[in-house]
Amino acid sequence: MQHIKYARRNLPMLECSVNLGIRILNVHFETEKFYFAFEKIFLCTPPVKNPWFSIFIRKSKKIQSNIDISKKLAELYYCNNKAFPFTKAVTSFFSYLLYTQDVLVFHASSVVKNDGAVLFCGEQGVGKTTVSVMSGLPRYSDDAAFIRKSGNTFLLYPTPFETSKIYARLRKPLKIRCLYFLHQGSRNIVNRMHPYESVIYASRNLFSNFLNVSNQAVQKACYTLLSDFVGNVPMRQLYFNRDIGFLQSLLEKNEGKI
Amino acid sequence: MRKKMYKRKPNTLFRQIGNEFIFIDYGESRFYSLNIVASRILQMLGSPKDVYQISERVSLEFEVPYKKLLQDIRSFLQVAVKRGLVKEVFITESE
Repeated sequence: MQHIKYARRNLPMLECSVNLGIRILNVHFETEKFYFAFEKIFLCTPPVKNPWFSIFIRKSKKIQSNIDISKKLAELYYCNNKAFPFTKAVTSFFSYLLYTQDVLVFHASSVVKNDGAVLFCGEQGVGKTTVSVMSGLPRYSDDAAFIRKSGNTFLLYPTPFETSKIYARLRKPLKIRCLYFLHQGSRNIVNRMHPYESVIYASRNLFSNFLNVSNQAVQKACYTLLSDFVGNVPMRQLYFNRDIGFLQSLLEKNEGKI
Repeated sequence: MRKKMYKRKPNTLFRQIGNEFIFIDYGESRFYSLNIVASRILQMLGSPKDVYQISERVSLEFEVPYKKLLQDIRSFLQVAVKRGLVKEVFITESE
């Protein structure tokens, strides 16, 4: 963590704060390129006095990170400043920190159904966005789903850095009705899941998996939260062959009553 | 005299989801689905215990002939050690 002091003294100009909806972070950049790539995606405001975390983004040949939870300091070493992978890396890093705040960030799209949310999780290119468009329901978020534990329930929050107008105007947190793990299939099938299977699939779809970060305290918080989430939200495997009728009748079935 | 005892691996987590018991090795990102007996055994191995101490405790909770129980626990521990869920520790006892 010695580098952090160095950065604080030498890079006063390249810093900003970003509001993750739940917490405000100060972010410091080693190069202008990182700053500009960041600014394209996140709504940047001047640094705040008492941020929840201070993050230093540094250039390196290898992706790695340093997290000191007690000092609320973190470093992200990154090797590429092209906008797309950089967004993924930074978002996954933020989401990793949010696990300690009862927040899970899934790689998922979501739609609004009867004042609740239905999520579609899956690997890149599997059709999460396509399914949410085909459902005909108002879209709530795309790519990253911020889910926060509130008492015994889990609420979906709007993705804080998403500014696109295509998503639902209703931006209040929503109870989660059901989560589908999406697969491309030759037929349309929905399968129930064993909790063990749900834990595995859910962990694979967490945003943190894009980064090779490890901190035992954060890992423990993450998996405790994840297993609570699995116990509270109905999860299904959805093999989908782009049949709109099937999708709409599935969403009508009121799976996972709230 | 050295006594062989068993201790659960650190950085692991127990969760009950509905009627299922899930053992999460968050250090290695591995997950195990356990039955109730296996979950009770791993739960009690937060501190080192030998096979007799484990068997005694389990016999208080489940109706199984003691000899059979001892045999089952031995084979379970063997598998758990092999998979790295449980570590063997040797404690020196004064006679």
